[in-house]
Amino acid sequence: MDNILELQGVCKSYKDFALKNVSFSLPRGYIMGFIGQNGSGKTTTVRSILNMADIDSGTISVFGLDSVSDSRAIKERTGVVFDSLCFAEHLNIKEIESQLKGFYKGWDSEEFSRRVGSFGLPLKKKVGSFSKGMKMKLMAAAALSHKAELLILDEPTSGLDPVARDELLDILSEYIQDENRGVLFSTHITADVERIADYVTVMRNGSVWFTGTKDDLLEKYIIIKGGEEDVTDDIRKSSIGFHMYKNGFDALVDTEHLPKLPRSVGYEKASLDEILIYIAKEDKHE
Amino acid sequence: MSEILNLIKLEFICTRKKVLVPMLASIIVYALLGFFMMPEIMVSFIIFSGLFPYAMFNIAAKNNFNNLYGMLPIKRSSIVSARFISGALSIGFVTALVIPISYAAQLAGRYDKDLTGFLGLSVLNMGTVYFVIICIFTSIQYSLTFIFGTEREVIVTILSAVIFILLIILMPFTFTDMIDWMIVKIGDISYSTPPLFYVIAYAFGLAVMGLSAVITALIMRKREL
Repeated sequence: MDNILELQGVCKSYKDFALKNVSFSLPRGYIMGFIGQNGSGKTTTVRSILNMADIDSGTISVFGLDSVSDSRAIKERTGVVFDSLCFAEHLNIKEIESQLKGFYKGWDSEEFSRRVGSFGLPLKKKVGSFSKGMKMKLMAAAALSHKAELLILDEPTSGLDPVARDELLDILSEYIQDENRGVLFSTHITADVERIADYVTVMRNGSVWFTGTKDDLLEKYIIIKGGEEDVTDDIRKSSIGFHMYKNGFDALVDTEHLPKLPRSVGYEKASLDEILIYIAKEDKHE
Repeated sequence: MSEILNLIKLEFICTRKKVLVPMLASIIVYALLGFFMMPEIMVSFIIFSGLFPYAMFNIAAKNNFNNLYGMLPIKRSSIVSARFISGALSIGFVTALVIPISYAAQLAGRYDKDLTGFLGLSVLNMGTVYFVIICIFTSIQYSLTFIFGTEREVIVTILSAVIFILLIILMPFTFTDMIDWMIVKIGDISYSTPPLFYVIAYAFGLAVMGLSAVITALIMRKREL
């Protein structure tokens, strides 16, 4: 399978935080949801991919090119949407386009106009007066107007209402119809990932906790619930985010432990949201 | 080179409303006051030309331009180069406007129309000296702002002034013979071949900015966006 993005053993240390041996790949033609709690390393990873942060070790390859030495060639083909507007707020859309187009050989002014028109963005109003949803759409319009093959979105839906989030997800679904493209979508809103992602990478404390298809992740973990009397050492050892309450317990476990569970213990499928919650509970206990 | 030009264009579009209008308005007010003011003082407006391009640092910080630079296909060193070139262009633009306006105001004004002016220095000479001074100060200020960031604006401003003053005070004592030789040489050139004096002076100012840009770019290569 042709990977549009590959990270191998990426390590990056700061004073209070570190990325440890981050490895995952995004195949061409797919959307990867990049999820994790706040502070788990998603944005640091995205910044490393964009060569905004210098990694200590490991390799990052985009379109088969090295992310450091070929950074400019990569960014020519990559569209980025951040969680907040990074254009001058006192300018209007026309002025911002005038700033951006010279940087990209593939800039398509007609495509940009079409996108801006379809998003209903006013051309002559200062972008600082836009709503959060409009700002995100402007960033998306800019990211989609230079024939980008890879879209990287770093928490673009945080702070958006459900309608605006839905509109962005529609944009991504339309974008990925071209099988030569890829999308890395970093978010802590798992419902968005459940809706459109094909692959998922879960970050936990600077490391990759899981990477693979969304279906594999959802099939791999279940939530078990039982009474006090059902708690065994095996259950405690094999569970994630074990939580004891007044009349019983619940926990997240790998399905490989299912045959060893007592019959009295019930289980159900875990959603992405619940997986993240139990990981967070596990971190709290540690 | 094209990415530096695009960055300069980006900065110009950002600052033209916030900076260009106040700058031109200030020059016009100065020109009007020139009728009542010694032109040698009027031409000191060049010193303020360094304040205007500094606005780009604040615009960049306020609007998360680190993220913008991170997504554009550019080198980190180009950001530094473009900023310094924009600064030099702004200082040059103001100088090119203010000196002729000062001359015109001097000729039309109430003060002595002797173009040799104050202390025997003409408006052009004084303007040239101010240009060099503001190039040196801007070089120090820009470098420190890139290194420390706009969050430490107060520290940068104080440090810039302190370093600048120390340079002015210490240089004559540290390089006494060289300074004396330079003053004599500059005096000779200014007297015998005035155009060469201006070429050397403007080239020196721009060279100081260029050197500062190179050093800052080398430091910023290792910094994250």
